[in-house]
Amino acid sequence: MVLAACSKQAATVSVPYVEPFQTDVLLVQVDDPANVPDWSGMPGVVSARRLFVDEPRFEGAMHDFGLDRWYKLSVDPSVPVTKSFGGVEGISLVERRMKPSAAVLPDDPDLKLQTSLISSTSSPDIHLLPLWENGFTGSSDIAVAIVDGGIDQAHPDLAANCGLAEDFTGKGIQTHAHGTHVAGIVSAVRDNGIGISGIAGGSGKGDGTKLLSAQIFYNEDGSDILGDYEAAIVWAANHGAVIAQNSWAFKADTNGDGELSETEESAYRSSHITIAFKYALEYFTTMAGCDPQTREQLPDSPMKGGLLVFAAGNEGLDTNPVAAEFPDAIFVGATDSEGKPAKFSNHGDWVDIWAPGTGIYSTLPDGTYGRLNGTSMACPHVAGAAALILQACGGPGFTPSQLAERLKGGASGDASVPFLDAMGALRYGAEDNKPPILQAGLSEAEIHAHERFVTKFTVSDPDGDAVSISVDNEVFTVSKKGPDTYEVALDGKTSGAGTFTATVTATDRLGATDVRPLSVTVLPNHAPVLTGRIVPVLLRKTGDRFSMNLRDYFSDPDGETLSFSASSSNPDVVFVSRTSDNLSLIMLAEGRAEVSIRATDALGAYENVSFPVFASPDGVTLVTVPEQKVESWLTIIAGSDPVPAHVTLQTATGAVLYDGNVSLGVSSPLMLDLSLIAPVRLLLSVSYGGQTYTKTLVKL
Amino acid sequence: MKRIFTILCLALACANMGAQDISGGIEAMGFSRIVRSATRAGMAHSGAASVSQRGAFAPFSMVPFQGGVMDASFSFSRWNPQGMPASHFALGAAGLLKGRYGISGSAVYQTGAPEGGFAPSDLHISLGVARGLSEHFSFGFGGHFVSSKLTASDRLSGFALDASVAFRTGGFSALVGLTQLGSASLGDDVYPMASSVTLAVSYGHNFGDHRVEGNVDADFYLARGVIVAGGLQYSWRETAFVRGGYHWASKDAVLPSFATVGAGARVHGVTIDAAFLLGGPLSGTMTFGVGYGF
Repeated sequence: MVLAACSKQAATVSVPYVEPFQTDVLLVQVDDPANVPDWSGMPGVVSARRLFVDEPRFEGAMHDFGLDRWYKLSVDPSVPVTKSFGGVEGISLVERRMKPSAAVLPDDPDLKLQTSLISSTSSPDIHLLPLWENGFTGSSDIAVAIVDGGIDQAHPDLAANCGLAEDFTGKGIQTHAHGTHVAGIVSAVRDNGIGISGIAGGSGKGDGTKLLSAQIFYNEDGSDILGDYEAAIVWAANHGAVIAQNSWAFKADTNGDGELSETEESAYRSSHITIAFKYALEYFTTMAGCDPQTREQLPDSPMKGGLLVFAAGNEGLDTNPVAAEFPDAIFVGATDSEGKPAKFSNHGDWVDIWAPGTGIYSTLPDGTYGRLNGTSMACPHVAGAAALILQACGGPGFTPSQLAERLKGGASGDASVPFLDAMGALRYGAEDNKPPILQAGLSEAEIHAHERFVTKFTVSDPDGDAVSISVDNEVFTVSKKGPDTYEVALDGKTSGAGTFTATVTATDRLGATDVRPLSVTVLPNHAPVLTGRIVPVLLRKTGDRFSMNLRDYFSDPDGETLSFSASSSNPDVVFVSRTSDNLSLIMLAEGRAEVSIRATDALGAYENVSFPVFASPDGVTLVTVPEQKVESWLTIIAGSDPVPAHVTLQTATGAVLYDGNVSLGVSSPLMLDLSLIAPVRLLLSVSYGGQTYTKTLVKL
Repeated sequence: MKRIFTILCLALACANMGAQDISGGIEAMGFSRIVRSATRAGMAHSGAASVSQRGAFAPFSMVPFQGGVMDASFSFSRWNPQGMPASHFALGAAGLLKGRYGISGSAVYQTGAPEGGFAPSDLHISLGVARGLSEHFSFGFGGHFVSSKLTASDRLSGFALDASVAFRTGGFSALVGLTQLGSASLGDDVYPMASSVTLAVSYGHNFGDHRVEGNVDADFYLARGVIVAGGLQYSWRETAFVRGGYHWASKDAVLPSFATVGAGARVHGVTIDAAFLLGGPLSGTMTFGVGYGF
């Protein structure tokens, strides 16, 4: 950031505002590298040195980029800059640089969602496997600079792929958890029988992508001391790296209180990267992989120039100063376990590509492993995939812009969240696309209304392209159950009855499709039915109990499990006790009660039935069930113990429906099936014990 | 054991439990088959083909053969007094235009004993036309609207059609027809009406001031059941009448078996009749009628 643009006032906030710059460092551009001012004579200047390490072999190129004009000055923050440089000749620019931080999130429980290189059940697939299967596992001819904390070069899962390491903090080489984790994602040694596989970690034969450790963080007492990231990037280009992996971003929350104040956000949005940094980025983009003398691509280099890959940042912001001023780099956002943008990820249309960034498992110092979250973890996914594409496509004339175009153009998923697709990047621009193959489990089915239809679809693509599945009927739901397996379901409870048809379509990244028809018939729900014959109950003395298993009396035509409820119209006479399917009726006093039972199926359809319970030592005279309106069965009871009785049932016109002598009692009711009788008024006459009892009924 | 006897168990195997035979009554609106004519009631509901009966409650095709130009009749029945007592009121009229075009209509209202705040009731309205094709043949057809208020909230309603052909020569007459072909509904449920194929013959002979008439009617119900009714009528100078008959019904018919006796008088076109039903569940049923014809 140009110094003149940095005159921000501290805001009045509970946590003191902290300027987003290194206060003890200044980057100074001199007019003439051969005529450098006397730094030691300037007020507040503690020390000074060339920002970009002088390397004789690259002297010409670095001079052309103006890198030999930059000096890094350690200064006393309490001394005003104007006092230090006021009136000094030979200085064309003084900059204060923003403080980057490793783009890793705290280990919060909510961020412990897992993802992996190979697709999990619900997250989208970065389609790495097809590349590995085709032999693209990484190449030792390709070097990726891990511009980060120092890599643990002794880690058994990294050592074989580690190359040069350089410290840009001035503190010396140090093993750093963040840098080691990022390096593992890119190029932990594959197929070595231990630990994890890096994306471009090689075939296990010492051919993994080389990791250059450009150390810009030094951890001291829990805090990272910042190194010269500008110099680190130039060093990377000068030492063979063609991909610079930068899992760090400039911080907006400069005071580190976990909240972004308006002052902090405003300062962040108006900030700029230093010109020195921009020069460094341009140098890497142009000179990586090139001969410093001829500026042409080296014969053994896979690319003419270098690709810069940056983490988008973890503060949920829609801006990034680097992206705003150097769009040629690739900026990587982080997705959660479901493939959606992680809440913490910076976002915006400047984010070129998204990759898994939660619960990423990788190498940690001292030979260990662990999970970290952040765009820092998403970024090396892209850097690693870029290394594989470079292995496959790189060569004379291949440029960083072509590599970036492949990565971006081959992305899968929603255009607003283009997701890293390694195979898609490899096949980008291919014309011989073959359609995907969709294999259906069931194409037709019939289910009951309470059931759920589930079938699995398996997809594959001859070209290894990413394939998505869709169903053109919203009644069906689709969920991913494995790398190539989807579950299509229909819930009969919510769909209603009917026949539902749909077309299941598998679509590859280039739009080729395969379709399968699907037809599911949901049968209408039927209410439970009374299958047993419920007759009146006689309890003769207090405390008598009658028990019944309700499952013996109700069933559901659809096979649903029934639930029951029961009540007594007169609980002081007959108490109802129900436990699950068992009903007990207990006599408490003399009298009569109607006991009602409701059987309800899984969809809420129900059948009611009620019957009288007589709590009397003497029994009853004449009782029918139902009491007056008969729909099918008519139950006739009389007396207490069975006695000979004459029963007649006639219509209003005198037609005799039943005329017979029976043994009739409460315990031996007469049951007549009137279901075939047309609606009519009926007269029931029962004679026993020298008495005749009549009752008028209605058949409905 | 005591517990077993003192508590009714639903699962007991009871001799009476299980479907028992139910006879008859599967057709709806059985009451619509009750003969409303007090004259025919005295002959056990026979006389559908009788040319000596008044036209008001006669089969439609018999109207051209009734002889008069106009007839109006009213009857009242005290139905089934020992079982389900009900009062039946019937009003009918028939007319003959140009000697060969007949028109006939009737309305029946019947109400049973009130139960609580509700008294069941039935309504039967008939309307038909007929034409005499010659001195010997006639045909008629018509329709019926029948409604039965079973409970305060349940009403059974239906429509039915009649079509019949009548023949006469000398003292002999006969009728064949379809009677009350239709259906009734209650809610979404539909039931067949008490429809039948009707065959009836009648023969009368005068012996001076005396006349004797015999009638046999048979109804073959389309659902099930057969009814055969036979009746005799003696009259003196067409002024005084004595009647009797027997109504035989199969076990599954809509009306039961019974016997009847009846008497009547006719003076200056005014007819008064009475009939009494004997035997069976309807025993004690009485029907009285009054009519005027010219």
